[in-house]
Amino acid sequence: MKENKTKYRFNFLVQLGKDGRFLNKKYIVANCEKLPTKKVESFTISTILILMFGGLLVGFLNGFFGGGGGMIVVPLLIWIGLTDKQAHATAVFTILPISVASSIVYFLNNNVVLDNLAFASLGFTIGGIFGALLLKKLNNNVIRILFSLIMIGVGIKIILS
Amino acid sequence: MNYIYLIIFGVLGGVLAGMGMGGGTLLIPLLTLILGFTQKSAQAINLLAFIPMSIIAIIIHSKNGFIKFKTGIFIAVFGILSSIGGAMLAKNFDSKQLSIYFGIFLLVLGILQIIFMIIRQNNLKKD
Repeated sequence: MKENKTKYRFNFLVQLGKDGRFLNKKYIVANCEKLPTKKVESFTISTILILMFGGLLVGFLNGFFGGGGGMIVVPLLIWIGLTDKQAHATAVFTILPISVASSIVYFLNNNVVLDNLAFASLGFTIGGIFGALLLKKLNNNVIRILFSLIMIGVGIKIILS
Repeated sequence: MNYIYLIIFGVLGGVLAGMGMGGGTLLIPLLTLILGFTQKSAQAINLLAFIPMSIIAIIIHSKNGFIKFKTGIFIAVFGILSSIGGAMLAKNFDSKQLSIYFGIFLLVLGILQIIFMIIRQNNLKKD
């Protein structure tokens, strides 16, 4: 776990030159500047507490609002030392089992019309593939600012309507 | 016609969701505000649509080496517990109430996200 104590800031061009993939450790060490930083994936007590309470909060929001938990997971993961892209990808991974649990409750409560679900899922999956492929290439900040503004606008609209 | 909109809105939400940027927070208001779904059914659709999408997205992300599995599973264990509680609690509210809470939730999330980004930018500058 020693190597995890150091976060590597990747040179973006170096990454692109190698097909944008994270390669073996030797390559990364040779090409990137090292930055001392907070623990990464080493489970210290503070990390465990953040993940525990974060997990409980995320699960509750996911169950109650039927989504949006991922928006809380991402900053949490960045806080404990993951890079942006790792945080976003891990958020998707984390939300899957949580969504399955919530879905079961919603499904049992008969909130679902199946043909609507089928078409929405079809679109969602197609979009998701694009999104997953894009994550590797994109600078997320622009999207994030735009999306934050949209969220604020939509939130106000819902409250007023 | 509704079905075409469902697919289009699904794609829009899906792109964000696949990136782990909160597709649900986009899909749910699209369904309620434009297509007139009730808040609860929109929430249910978002949750269920997330499952097939995320399985494929996870495969892509893990091939790219972006996923920290241990951390993810750790959060998920606690998340599953409280999500069942949250979902059962939602049952006790009607869709109108839920949608107002959802609106507040979106507003807060949007503001928090902007604050978070500003803090991060400042930290990066210090580095």
